[in-house]
Amino acid sequence: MRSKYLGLALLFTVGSALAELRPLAEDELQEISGQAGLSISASLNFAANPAQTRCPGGCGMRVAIQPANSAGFIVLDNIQGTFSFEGLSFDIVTIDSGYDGDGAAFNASAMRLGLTDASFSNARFTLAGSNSAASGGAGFQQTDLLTYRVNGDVRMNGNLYLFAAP
Amino acid sequence: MTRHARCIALALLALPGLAAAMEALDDQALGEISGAGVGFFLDNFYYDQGSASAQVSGIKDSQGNALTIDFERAYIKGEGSQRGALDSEAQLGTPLHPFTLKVVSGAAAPTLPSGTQALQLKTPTWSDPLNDTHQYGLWSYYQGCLYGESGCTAPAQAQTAIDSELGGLEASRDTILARYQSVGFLTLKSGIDQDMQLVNQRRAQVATETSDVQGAYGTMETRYAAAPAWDGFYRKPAFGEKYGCGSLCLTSAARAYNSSVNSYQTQLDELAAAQKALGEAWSVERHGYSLNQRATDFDEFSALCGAPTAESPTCVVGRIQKTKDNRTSVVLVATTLQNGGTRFKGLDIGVEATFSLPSTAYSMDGNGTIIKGATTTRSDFFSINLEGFTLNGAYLNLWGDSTGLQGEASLQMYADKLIIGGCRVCTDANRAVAKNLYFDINLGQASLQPLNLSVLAGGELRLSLPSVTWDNHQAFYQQVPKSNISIGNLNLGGVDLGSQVVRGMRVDYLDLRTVNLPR
Repeated sequence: MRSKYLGLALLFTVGSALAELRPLAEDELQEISGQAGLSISASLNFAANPAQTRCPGGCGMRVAIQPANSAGFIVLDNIQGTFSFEGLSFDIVTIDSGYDGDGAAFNASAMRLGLTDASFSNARFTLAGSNSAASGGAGFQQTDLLTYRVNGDVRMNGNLYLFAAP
Repeated sequence: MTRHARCIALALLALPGLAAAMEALDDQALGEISGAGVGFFLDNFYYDQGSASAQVSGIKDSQGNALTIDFERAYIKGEGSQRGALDSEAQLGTPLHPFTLKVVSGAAAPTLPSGTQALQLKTPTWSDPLNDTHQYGLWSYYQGCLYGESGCTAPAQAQTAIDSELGGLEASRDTILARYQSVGFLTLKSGIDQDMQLVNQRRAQVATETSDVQGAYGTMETRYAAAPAWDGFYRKPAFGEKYGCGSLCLTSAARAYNSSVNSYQTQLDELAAAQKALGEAWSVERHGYSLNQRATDFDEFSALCGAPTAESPTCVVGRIQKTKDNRTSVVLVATTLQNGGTRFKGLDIGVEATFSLPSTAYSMDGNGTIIKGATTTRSDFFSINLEGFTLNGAYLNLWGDSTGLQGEASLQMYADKLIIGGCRVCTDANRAVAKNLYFDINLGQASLQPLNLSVLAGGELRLSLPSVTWDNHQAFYQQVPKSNISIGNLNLGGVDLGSQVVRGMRVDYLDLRTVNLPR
């Protein structure tokens, strides 16, 4: 029961920790803005499943959405390939200036997502309508609308700010 | 709860400051919280397809042949990018004018049925005259040329244009007013109504005679088919002409045919007489003007000023008033520009694509028969560029009810320039260039005509707008928003075609569904 001892140990340390940790008052909290954020690099690979013979070489990932009271599904089918990016940044900032005076009037925090160049390797998806959320099986019907493929490096720049809207 | 977790929970409870800061919200406080949503905006943004290749496939022509679209280039950048050549950065929204995604009801979505809440995506919305697309789009239509280009630096040009249009409308109104001043418009209307009775009688007569002519023609056709190739010495004549033997023909079939030709001629004469009488009814004069003139004048006046309700009518509704209202917006935009006002910069968006599609060669042989030749794959280049594109004040509301996923959308798109080209290496002199483009497209109205999206059992997508019904037709035509498109100037292959406008479009019924080809 290692967890029990760990918990007890925490309980005992809390008392002494409190001496160092001082609860921050509301006005003090407001003055703190995000210091350092996160930088994310990732490579996402959606591989085909060769067991599914419906698509040549196997089908990729499938996302199905059923609009309210519809008999069928809108699907993003056969999602395959690699999507990678390096240095996508993520932090919290206070906007209190700029934007032709809008910034000063806004004077609040927002989540900032720093966009970066991305790279696709044989990425593809098919937009379709289907009678079933799952792929294949008896009576399976699907109308493919279009297939989009992308390969190579795209250049992207900018900051996306997200915040709670009144 | 595991012991581990319980211990941590206890430890947290022991932190006195935290527990004190947590307060339960009472009902009143909760009631004040509305469905807050997410706001977002983008700055320093650009996107460029760069070295990536992109392709859309899976689209088929009606014969089931595959069609592919290869995107050679695509970009979204800030205004002034020289069609994507420069990495100019775009600003989409500001902290106080963001894109919003939230749940709305009541005043934020006034058309929604009561008790319904919708998910709303709304683009940055301004109310100042330069950034409010509705006002700026109207001004740009009258301005015609692209503001800031050489020869287009006077914003009051739009004011002159709308004044001239308004002057023309008012002159037409004054002519009609002067014409019937001594008569009075209610008297004019009652005179038209009385004279229209004769027109309506004679219209009915023309309809009867038209039907008689059709009947006689049918009889003539039947009897011609039954008529013999020869009647004694007389060969069967061309259709509509008579055998030379007149009423003395040997066969009864030939005599019957001849008589049907006579009847047909009689009916034609009667129709001509009825049409002449109808024309005369339209020419009946009162107050020195024919019925035709009076009815046209009255209709025109009603369109300009609204239907008259007094002998000396006012002019507070109708097209003149609408143009006056528009003039207010145009003058406001022009004045703001003259005082040095500027707009938020828009986007430059462009796509260059190659369409590969099967193409069959047809030729004609010596006998004039069309022969199908070989089918090859043809590549067509297509480019579309938008400069200074904004989408301010547009929204999409989505909600679900017993009939499925419903929506209503309003697109407020404005672009300084739209350039469509079919040639890879050429200048704008060989492309279609539209300047000051404004799309005010409204699809669906939540209460009367919601846009419905569903997927049928076979997996076919369906987008529909219910039709107007007898029960709701009055509210429908008053409330369902119309769509408008205006272009300040359209230039095709170097030729200026001037301004184009489509106003007051409304979809009465729409049912759009995908089908799996070949069927």
